[in-house]
Amino acid sequence: MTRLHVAIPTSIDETLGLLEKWGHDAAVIAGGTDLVVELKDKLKSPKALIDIGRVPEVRGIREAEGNHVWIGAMSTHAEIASSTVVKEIAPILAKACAQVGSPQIRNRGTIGGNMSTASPAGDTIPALYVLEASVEIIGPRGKRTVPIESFFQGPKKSALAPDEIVLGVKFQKLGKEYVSFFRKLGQRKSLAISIVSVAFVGKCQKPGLFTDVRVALGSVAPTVVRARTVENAIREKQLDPKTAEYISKLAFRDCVPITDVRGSKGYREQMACNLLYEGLLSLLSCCEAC
Amino acid sequence: MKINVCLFGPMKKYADKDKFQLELEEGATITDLLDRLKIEDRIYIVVLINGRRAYDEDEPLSDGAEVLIMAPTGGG
Amino acid sequence: MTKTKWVGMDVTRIDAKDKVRGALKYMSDLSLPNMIHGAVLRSKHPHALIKKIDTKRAKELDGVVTVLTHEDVPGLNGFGIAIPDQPVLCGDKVRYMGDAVALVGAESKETAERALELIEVEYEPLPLVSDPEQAMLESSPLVHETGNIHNHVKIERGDVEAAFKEAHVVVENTYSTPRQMHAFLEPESGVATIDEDKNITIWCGGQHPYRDQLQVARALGMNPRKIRIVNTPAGGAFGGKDEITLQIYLALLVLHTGRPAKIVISREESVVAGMKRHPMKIYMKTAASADGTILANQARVVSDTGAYASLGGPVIGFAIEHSCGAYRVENVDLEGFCVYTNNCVAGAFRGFGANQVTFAVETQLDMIAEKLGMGKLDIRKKNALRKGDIAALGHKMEASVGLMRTLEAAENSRLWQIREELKAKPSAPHKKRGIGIACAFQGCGLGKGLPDYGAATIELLPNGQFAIGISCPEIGQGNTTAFVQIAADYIKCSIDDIVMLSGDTGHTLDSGTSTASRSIYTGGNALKLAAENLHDAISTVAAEILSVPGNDIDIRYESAVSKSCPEKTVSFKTIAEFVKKKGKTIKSEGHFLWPVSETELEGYVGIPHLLYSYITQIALVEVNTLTGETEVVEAVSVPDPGKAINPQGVEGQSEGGVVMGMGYALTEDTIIEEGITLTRNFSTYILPTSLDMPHKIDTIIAEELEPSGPFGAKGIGEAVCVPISPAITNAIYDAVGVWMKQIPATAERVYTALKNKEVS
Ligand SMILES: Cc1cc2nc3c(=O)[nH]c(=O)nc-3n(C[C@H](O)[C@H](O)[C@H](O)COP(=O)(O)OP(=O)(O)OC[C@H]3O[C@@H](n4cnc5c(N)ncnc54)[C@H](O)[C@@H]3O)c2cc1C
Repeated sequence: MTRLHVAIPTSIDETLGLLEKWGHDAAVIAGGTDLVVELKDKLKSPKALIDIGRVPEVRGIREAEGNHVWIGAMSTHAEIASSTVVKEIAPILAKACAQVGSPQIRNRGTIGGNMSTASPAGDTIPALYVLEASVEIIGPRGKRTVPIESFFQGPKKSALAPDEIVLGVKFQKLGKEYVSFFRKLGQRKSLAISIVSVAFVGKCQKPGLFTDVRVALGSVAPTVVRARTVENAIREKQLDPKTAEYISKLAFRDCVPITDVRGSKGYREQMACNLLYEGLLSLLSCCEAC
Repeated sequence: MKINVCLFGPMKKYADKDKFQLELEEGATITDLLDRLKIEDRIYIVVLINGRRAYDEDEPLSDGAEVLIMAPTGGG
Repeated sequence: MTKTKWVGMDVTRIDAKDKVRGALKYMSDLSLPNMIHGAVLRSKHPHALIKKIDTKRAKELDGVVTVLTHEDVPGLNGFGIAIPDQPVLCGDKVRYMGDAVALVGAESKETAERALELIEVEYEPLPLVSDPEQAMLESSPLVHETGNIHNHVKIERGDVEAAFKEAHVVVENTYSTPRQMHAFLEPESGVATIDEDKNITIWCGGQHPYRDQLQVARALGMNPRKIRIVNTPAGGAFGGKDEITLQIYLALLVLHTGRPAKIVISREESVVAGMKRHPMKIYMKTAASADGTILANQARVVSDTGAYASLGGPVIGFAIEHSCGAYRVENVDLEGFCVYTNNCVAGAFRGFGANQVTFAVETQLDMIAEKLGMGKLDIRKKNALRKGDIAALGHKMEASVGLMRTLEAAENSRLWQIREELKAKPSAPHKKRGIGIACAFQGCGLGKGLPDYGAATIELLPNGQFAIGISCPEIGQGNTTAFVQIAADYIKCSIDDIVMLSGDTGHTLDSGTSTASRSIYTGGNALKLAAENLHDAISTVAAEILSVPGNDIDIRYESAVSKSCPEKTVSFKTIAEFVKKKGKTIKSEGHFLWPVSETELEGYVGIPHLLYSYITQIALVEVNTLTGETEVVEAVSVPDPGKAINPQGVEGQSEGGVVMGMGYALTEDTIIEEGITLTRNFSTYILPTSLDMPHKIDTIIAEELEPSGPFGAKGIGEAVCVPISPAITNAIYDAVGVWMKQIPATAERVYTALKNKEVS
């Protein structure tokens, strides 16, 4: 029987020491919901698992200086989805976390794991993009902070070196004028990998008029992408349902999707547009209501 | 004694007719009947005697018995 | 009808406690001392010749106990319910990716799996055929030497061409249906033992222990009586464990090693190697008169049975029998082909060929209604089969026919009554709601030409309880609970005094399969006969105890009474004690043979049926026009099971059936391209989850009692998952105006259909 060494460090220093000791034979395990699948499919065969679940430095959700919120890498999707802080200042992230997998997956899966897996379908990532978050990384060379968009370099590729781990992620609080939505299209309502996902935040000047606009799309490119063409088109334009429909059609410009069993390239492109339109419609109708 | 035989499915190939009467010696068993019909497959086979499945090929037959011979099957 | 104490009541399932507590041991929970672990080497190619198999390196691996190939199969190297065309272990050729080439037994599962990698097999790949219509062409590669068409069915009545000419409307379409997966909770798994006398016992999920016994015996060249099969619990089956799964591998391992063995396969292996529902391509042309009377139906059905036959032959026959729906149609021209390809094997699956054709014919009917401006429910009432009618194959509906009763109950359901109100309230303006209705009938039992028999035993136990034995396994459908209820009413005792023995050739007589909506009808009727014999035996003893003549005894609840002197009574318990003291037992048997239709279709077996269950189902859907996503908001299911032995059990079947039929309609498909399965597990094979369930499923039981059934029961296990699929696709049309002719109607397909409609 193949033996797998499991280490449960209780500090960052110990974790980094273990990473150095085991080198390429090590794998960090957080919730294990991605890693265990890879082990089962023999996509990875580490000799040691380093379980960071008891490392205090990667835990917690708290308000930080400079009007920031900091979320530890070990925070589970369930914790984030039910966090009062997150729900209040970044509801889009709470909503995204609430749509990951199923209750079991949300209870184990972590935001750090979701980022480190670096899948273009990772559901927290579009939200982190529009929050313009930065990722805190620690390694033997010290701590560094990377803007979220530079963290992801391709499918399953991140800026993380093998001897580094993600400490946490932080972003600036958005003001009360900001509205947002996260919409994920899957093949079913839960336990579904996104065919396309759309995250939107906008600073609402008056109903239908957004100044600061950020749109991110998931599952339509090698990494999650910002849809800058659409952002520019929406910014400072008075939207009504007709113009929203028209502008949403530009979303495909930032997409380079592939065809797989979940959906075709063409469908993904159209869905990027339509999900954005659907979300804008709901924002318009709720803006009107208030 | 007279035995009424009915063949089903793949067993039909062992006789010209599907339904017929046979004269067997008193005390003849299922094995005797199968020998007489030259039925080769003795494992994947089901024999019903008067609507009751027989599990033992040494079971003697009685006069007037209705014997259904079939291969197991399935369906919906 | 007889008054009943237990039948018709919502009795708690006898296996409920153990299941919810996790106390019930499934096959994969079983572990035996000194047990070896088995693993099966599957093919590397969908179609190839085997040039050489070298097991030397695998055998040398530490911990490997045995490595077996085709040379180690002592009997017939083949299995298959209808014809044994599937090799136990392939020797010369592989025909699909699930084909077994070698079998390893090792001290641990890990070692067994490592050994698989060390087996060297030299293949010579052959051109493959993955499309069944292509497989029918002369030029196509042959999957089997006998030709790629395994079975052909053609039934003609009347004159369809004349009817097409005369008709007011004719609709003509081609439909295609997916390779649905049974997705039972427990993938194929089992354990086995062997004793010094080479008696083998196999515990393995299955649906007909006595037939498994014969298939194992055939492959081992052994006397069947030396093989005991235990099939309960099955870990779920839905038809997917009707065929042999691992039983023969387990037997080979214990035979060659003398040690107990266990095999548990992964979901991924089950997806590739296990049975599926037959994908079918259905061409259908249907004609109707101006008043909506169906005049003619023409169908050509091509069914993909994959690499081996299993029950593909009977399935295409069943599909043809059900291809005109539960309606009167005088002119028919129905043709079906069951075709071999290098795809995954398809076999029995809840509905048995009815699901595919019902989707087609129920869509046709809606199209006709649409053209005639006729109500969707009205057109069904107009054509619905009634007792005494002649059905499509020319056979008379001699048994109970409850279709009209289900249609009337559906019409009176809340959902149907307030449908316009519900349709007018979608959850967003870009979402559209629609309602759909569909009907079905489902043949029960094996049909004409396949003697369908069953037996039951009852034994009075020393403590006054009764052990009843029926071999039809409990596959989760609740038949054992129903048997207990039926037995208690026939025996006249409490359900608490019944001990159920099921699915075990060691303890029960052969009662046939748990398939074909047949087990309750068969087992119930056999129990009735066994109870009569039991009562005779009890009466004899009671007469002795009470010192009255044997014919003076009446059986009452839990006791025997003297007719002439009613104060003379003796309880079953006392009788049991009396018998025990005398060193005797009271044991009875009941043997039942199904009645069959008078109609015989020259050259065909398994069709037509005599008995059918009937059902009408309604779906309210909401379609997102921006994405094509379809949500089933509500459903109504109106089955006619005959007498509902356990109404809650019928509701359970009905709700499960609705969800299974919904998955079939909207998301489920095992996608195979060039012989390779792309949907390897539940990440891409999309089963509905609890969140995808309709918010509400109402089951209205419309009992049309069947005089020949136990307390009037027929069967209901299959029909419940059939018409809901076209009810859903018909509802999609009602919502957004597109006919979905290919299922699953995935979001992308619905969206594409909407776009195409916009363009045209
Ligand atoms: C059934 C199922 C459903 C799922 N559904 C969804 C879904 O809907 N949406 C979605 O986005 N994802 C989904 N996932 C994927 C997965 O649950 C998420 O990506 C989850 O967030 C991963 O977190 P984890 O803690 O379990 O990661 P792990 O499996 O523990 O780790 C994943 C990877 O990240 C590395 N890693 C983890 N933490 C760190 C760290 N702090 N620093 C450096 N490296 C680290 C690990 O070494 C590993 O390579 C699903 C998975 C399953 C099994």
